[in-house]
Amino acid sequence: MPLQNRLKEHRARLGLNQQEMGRRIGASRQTVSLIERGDYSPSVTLALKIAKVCGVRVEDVFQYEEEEP
Amino acid sequence: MNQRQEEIRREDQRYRGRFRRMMLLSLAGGLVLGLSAVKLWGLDEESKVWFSTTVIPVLGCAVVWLCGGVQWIAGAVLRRKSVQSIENAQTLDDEGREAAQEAVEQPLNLLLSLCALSCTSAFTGMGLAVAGFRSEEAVMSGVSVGVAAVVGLWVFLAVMLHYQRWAINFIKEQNPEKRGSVYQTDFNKTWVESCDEAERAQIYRAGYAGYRAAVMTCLVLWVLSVMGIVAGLLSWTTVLFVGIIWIASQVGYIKSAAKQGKSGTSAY
Repeated sequence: MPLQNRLKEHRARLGLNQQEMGRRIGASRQTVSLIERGDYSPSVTLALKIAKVCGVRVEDVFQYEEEEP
Repeated sequence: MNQRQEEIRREDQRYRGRFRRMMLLSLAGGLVLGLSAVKLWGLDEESKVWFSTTVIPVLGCAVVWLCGGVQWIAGAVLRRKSVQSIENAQTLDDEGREAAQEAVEQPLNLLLSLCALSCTSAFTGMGLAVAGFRSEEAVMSGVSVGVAAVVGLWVFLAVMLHYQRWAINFIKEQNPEKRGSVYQTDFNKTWVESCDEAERAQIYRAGYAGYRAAVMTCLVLWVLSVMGIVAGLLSWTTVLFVGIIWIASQVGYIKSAAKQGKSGTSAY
């Protein structure tokens, strides 16, 4: 998947578990887990909420890397 | 012809051969089924009646009780597995508890899938079993089988509801944002509304897969129904009901697609 993320790092920095992170961004624990594993790409709205909760820019949480052909 | 039209023409050409082979295979399959149906048509009336009023009802009754048994045993096993997994994780750190919660999703999903699948199987079995009521030659046994199936269905529904309610409430305990009670008539709507974007995407993808499976099944059932009518085993109502389900699936999809088209979201 071309979208990489550092959500787990930021979550650990804030000292939050997945349940608490989910509560703050308005998503379920499962969705937080899916995003961290790279199995789900959040919508723009959710990505912005995550960045706001982490106190960083969206680009500091999510990175888009082109897949090699 | 412009470049895009040329690409479209080449794409059609690529799959045309396989499509033709599939149509020829279907034609051959239809001929085989048709000849078998004519052979079945040649069966004597006594055999057909015995098959319809004895074999099918007994099979249906057996299916109902089997569903109840499987639901009871599998439900107990999956419940114990889920509860133990969460209890064992209480002494672990956050990461350990999260891993346990992820691990418990599989048995819970399996339990809920089993509830749905066994429910439709049990209802189908009961429907088959009541065909025994119509047997004039074996009235008592036909009624017994039918009554046994009805009782079996009630027992099954009690067991299924028990485990379904437990699973939903267990999920709600682990996920406080989830809403909906199994006793609600619009439980599915309330549940989906409490799901977030990722969960809804999963539900909608599964819904589309279900729609495609329903349409394909209707096509197969239509073929079998027509063969059954030719063989004298089924009445015209079978094809009618298959057609109704087929049309209902299509209309449901078309209505939803049209609604989304109006709201600006593409359905394709």
